[in-house]
Amino acid sequence: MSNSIDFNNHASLDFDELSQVNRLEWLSSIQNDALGAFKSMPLPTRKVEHWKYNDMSFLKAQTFKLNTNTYEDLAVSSSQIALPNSIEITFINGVLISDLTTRSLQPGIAITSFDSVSTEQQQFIIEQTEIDSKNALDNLNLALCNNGILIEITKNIRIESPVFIRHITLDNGAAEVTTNRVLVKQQPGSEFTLVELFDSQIEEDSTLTLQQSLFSIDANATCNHYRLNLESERAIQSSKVESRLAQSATLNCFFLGLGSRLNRTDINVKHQGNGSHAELTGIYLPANEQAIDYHSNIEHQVAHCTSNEIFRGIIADEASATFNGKIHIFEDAQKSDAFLNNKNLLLTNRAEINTKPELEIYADDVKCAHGATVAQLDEKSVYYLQTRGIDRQKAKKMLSIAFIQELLNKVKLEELNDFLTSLLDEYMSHLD
Amino acid sequence: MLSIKNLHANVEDKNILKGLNLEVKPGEVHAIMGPNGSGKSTFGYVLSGREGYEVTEGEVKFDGQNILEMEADERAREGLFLAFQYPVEIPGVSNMEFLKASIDTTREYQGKEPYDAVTFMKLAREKCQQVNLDQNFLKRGVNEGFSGGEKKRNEIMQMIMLEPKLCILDETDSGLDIDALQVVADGVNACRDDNRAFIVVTHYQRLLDYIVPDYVHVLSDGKIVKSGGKELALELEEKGYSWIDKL
Ligand SMILES: Nc1ncnc2c1ncn2[C@@H]1O[C@H](COP(=O)(O)OP(=O)(O)OP(=O)(O)O)[C@@H](O)[C@H]1O
Ligand SMILES: [Mg+2]
Repeated sequence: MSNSIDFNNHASLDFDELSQVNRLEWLSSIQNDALGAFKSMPLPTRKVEHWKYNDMSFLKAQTFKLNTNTYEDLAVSSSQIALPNSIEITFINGVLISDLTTRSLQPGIAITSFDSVSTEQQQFIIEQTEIDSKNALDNLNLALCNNGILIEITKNIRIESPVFIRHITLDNGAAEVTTNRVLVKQQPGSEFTLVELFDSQIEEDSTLTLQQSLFSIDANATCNHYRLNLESERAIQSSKVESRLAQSATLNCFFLGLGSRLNRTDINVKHQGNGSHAELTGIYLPANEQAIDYHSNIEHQVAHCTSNEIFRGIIADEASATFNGKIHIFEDAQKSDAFLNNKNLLLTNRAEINTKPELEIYADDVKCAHGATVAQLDEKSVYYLQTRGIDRQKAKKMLSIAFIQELLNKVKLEELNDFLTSLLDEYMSHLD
Repeated sequence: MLSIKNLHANVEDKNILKGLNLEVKPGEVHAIMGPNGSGKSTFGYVLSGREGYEVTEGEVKFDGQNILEMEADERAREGLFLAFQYPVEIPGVSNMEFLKASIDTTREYQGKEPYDAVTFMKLAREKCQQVNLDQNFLKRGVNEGFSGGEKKRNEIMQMIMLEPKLCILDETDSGLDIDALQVVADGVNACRDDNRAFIVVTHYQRLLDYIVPDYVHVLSDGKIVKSGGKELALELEEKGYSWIDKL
C-alpha cells in the first residue's frame, strides 16, 4: 500500500495500491471507469493539443501524495472575504470540514456531502458524471474523489443567502494531490448564488488541486456563480466548471485568476434547452512567473440560445496566460446568438499571451461574433496623465484598472464587489 | 520664470528644434505662431517632458531649476501645464477620478491644503460651468467621445483647477466655435495674474484679440526667427510667413 501517485507510471495506477479514506461503494463503478480512462490517455504534456500551452513537466518531476488527512481538529482561519449572511462551507485540501448535518438552512436549499447522500441523490450524481475525452486530470479527479457535496435548490425558490465555498489548501509535508467535486442541482424557476474561493495558503509544498464544479440548471432557473482563484505561487490547479442549461435557464458567471504557479480551468457551458442564456465574465492577472489558462467551450446544442463571453487579462513580469474560447454551434441550433471577446494587456516585453478564439458552426441562421486583441499600455495615455502631475506608476495603475473596470462592474454582490475593488487596487499598486 | 537657451531637440533621431531661445517672465503672455511642422507642438512636448523627445543641446530653466532632468509628472507638479493640441482619450478612467488624482498629488507636492471631497466636487462643478461643460462630463471617461471643442474646454478646466505657474496652450483655439473661443479666452484671462505666465501657440490672430499677448514670436524650422509685440500677429496675418522667409 502506498498513498502516492507516480505520474511517470500513470498507466499502472491501481486503486488496490492506494490507501484512500472513505471509499464510497456507490461511486466505485464510475471511479473505476474514470481511472481506466485516465490510464489509457496520454499524460498532459505540450504535445497533447488540449495542454499545448501549459508546462506540465512538474507532474513527472515528483511523486504526489494523495491527501489522507481529515483535518478533524483544525481551526480554520477566517476568510479574506466577509460575506455576511452567506452559507459558508470549507474544504481543506479537498476535504469537507464543515459539518453540514447540523446546519439549519432556509427551506428550499439542501446541501449534502457524498457520504450521506440518498440513493436518489447518488443516482443524480452518477448521471451527471461524465468521462472527459480530453482532460485526463479531470478523469483522475473523478477516479479519486470521495469528497464532494451536492447542493439542491427547490423549484421556484430564490435563495437569498449566497453559498460561499472556501477551497483552502495548506502545506501537508509533501507534494500532494487534492481532489474535490461540487454539484449543483437547480430545479425549475429557482435562483441562487454560489461564490467559490480558492485560497491557497501553501508556502513550501506544491499542491496539485483537482476540482470539478458541475451545474445542472433546470428550466427558467438562474444561477449566479463567482469563482475566485486567489492563489499562492506554489499552487497548481487543474479544474473543470461545467454548466448544463435547460430551457430559458440563465447562467451568470464571473472568474478571477490571481496568483498560481499554474491555474488551468476548463469552462464548459452546454445550452440544452431553447432560450437559455449564459453570461461569462473573466479577469486573469498573472504576474512574476505565474501561468493562468482559461479554456472555455460554449456549446449551443439547441436553437434560440444566447451567450456573451468577455475575458480580459493583464499579464505582468514574465507571466503567461492562455485564453482559448470556443463556440460550438450544433446543426439544430438555429437562431443562436454568441458573442465572445478577449482583450489582453501585456505590461512587459517578457509577458506572454496565447489567445485563440475558435468557432465551430454547423447551423446557418446564427449570429456569431468573436475577437481577441493584445496590446501594451498606451504610452500616450501614460504621458497625458503624467502631464497632470500623476506619476508613472500611478498612471499605469489607473490605466490597468480602467482596462478591467467594466468587467468588475458585473460583480453584483456588493460585499464581493467592494472586496475585489480594494484587492485589485492593492494588486495594481505593486505592478511596475 | 522660464529661460530657454539654444534648445536643440530630436524626435526619433530627427532634429526638430534647432537652437531655440526664449525668456518668459511672470505675468507675461507670449504668443508663438509659425507654419505647420515648424516644431510648435514639439516645443510643448519637450518642455513638458514627453518620453522620446530628446534634448541634444541647450538648457531650460524653470524658476531657476533645470527641468530637463525631471520626469513629466514632476514638471507638472512644479507648476508647468500643457494644454494639448490633441487631448488624449482615456476610456475607463472617469474625468472626476482623473481630476481628483491630479489635483490631490499636485497640491500635496506644492504643500497646499488638500481639498476635502465635498469642496473638491463643488469646485469641479463650478469650473465645469465656467468653461460651459455640463457636469455630466465629470462622470464620463477622460475625453472619451468628447467633441473637439469639448476636449479643448476640458483642458482649460483642468488648467484652472491646477493653478499652474506656466501654461502652454497648444492651439487651444483651433476647432472652437465663436462662443467657445470666448469661453476659453475668458478662462485664460481669469487666470492671468502677475505670477502666472502663458505661452499661447496659435495660427490665428483672432485669438490674440481676446488674449492680448505681450510678445509674439515666429517659430520656423525649429528656431524663433522673429519676435515683436502684438502688432506682429497682424502683420503676419496680412503678409503670411513667406514675408518672414524673405527677411
Ligand atoms: N515621432 C516623430 N517622428 C518623426 N518626425 C516627427 C515626429 N513627431 C513630429 N515629427 C515632425 O516634427 C516636425 C514638427 O512637428 P510639430 O508637431 O511640432 O509641428 P507644429 O509646428 O506643431 O505643426 P502644426 O502647426 O501642424 O501643429 C514635423 O515635421 C513632424 O512631422
Ligand atoms: Mg502642433
